[in-house]
Amino acid sequence: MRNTLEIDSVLKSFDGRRILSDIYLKCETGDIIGMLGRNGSGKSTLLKILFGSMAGDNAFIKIDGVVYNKPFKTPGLISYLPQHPFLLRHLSTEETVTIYLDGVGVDDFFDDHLLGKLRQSKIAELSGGESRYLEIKLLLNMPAKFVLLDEPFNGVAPVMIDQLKTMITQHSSTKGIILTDHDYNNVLDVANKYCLVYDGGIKQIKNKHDLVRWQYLTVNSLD
Amino acid sequence: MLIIHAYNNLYCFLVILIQLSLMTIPGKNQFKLLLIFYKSTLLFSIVCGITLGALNFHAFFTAFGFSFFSAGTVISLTYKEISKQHEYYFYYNKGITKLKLILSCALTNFIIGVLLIVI
Repeated sequence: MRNTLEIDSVLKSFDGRRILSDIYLKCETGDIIGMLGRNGSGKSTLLKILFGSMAGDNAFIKIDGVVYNKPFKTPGLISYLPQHPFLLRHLSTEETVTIYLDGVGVDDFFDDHLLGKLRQSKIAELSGGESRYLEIKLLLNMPAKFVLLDEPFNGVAPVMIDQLKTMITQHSSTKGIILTDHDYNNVLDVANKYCLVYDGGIKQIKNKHDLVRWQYLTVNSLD
Repeated sequence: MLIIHAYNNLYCFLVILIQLSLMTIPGKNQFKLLLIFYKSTLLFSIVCGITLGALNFHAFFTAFGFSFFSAGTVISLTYKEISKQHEYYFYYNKGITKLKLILSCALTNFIIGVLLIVI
């Protein structure tokens, strides 16, 4: 089944400064939307509004034709990877996975070269990269129709980034995914649609030349 | 007269808390997550209860119970808000709101505190 997520008429200001103005974004099952933008452009704010953990000054969120104020309150709709680690440090990896997957498919989840050996470890004992890998794999394996990933590749070793990109591509067959990261090469590599948050709005991006046009990259970056 | 008034207020507060919590706890499987959150706030509540209880040693359990559900709850939730705010996403991703977490924690502390005072 093809699911549709739409967010429209998003307005958000901080201390009188308009961050987002009249944003429209649509994501469907199969989409991997790579969202780029400079620091402070409002990418994370937009994802939080979309998830429902932050209120917009105005926002209209629709999933499969139904309007939601806070989509995260409805199980199975949407999951979100924040910039900072969110797993509870005192729980073990196995406890965390069991809770998040409601005990279903836990053994299959740990049939993984990296996580298999960390099954009994506490979250606090994991490195930043291992923790990030676990968070992303957990969110992708939850039964959510849409996944929002805020800086998924931050602090992750290149070999694990490749595994994450494969995982993201595989799960896009059943989910819609929106991701944002400053590592634009990996974003351009894994995404099948691109956009740029620029001056409070969203610009559609087709190639790297568009990123130069909207001053996200310099001409030298194209070499 | 004053005691009756205080008990009436206490009772009303308890009823409101129970009603609000029941309205915001939709599923049985979320209780485990609520319990995990509650346990993570317990240390501050107990420390607060013991500290203020020790100051009123002649009525230790009354002071402990009262400070456990009042100051203890406020301090532990404030600590969460200041230093562990990102952990709320652990619960958000399972459909649990901050309001639900705070109410369930306050309600549990309130019941335990009142039981300690009454007993």
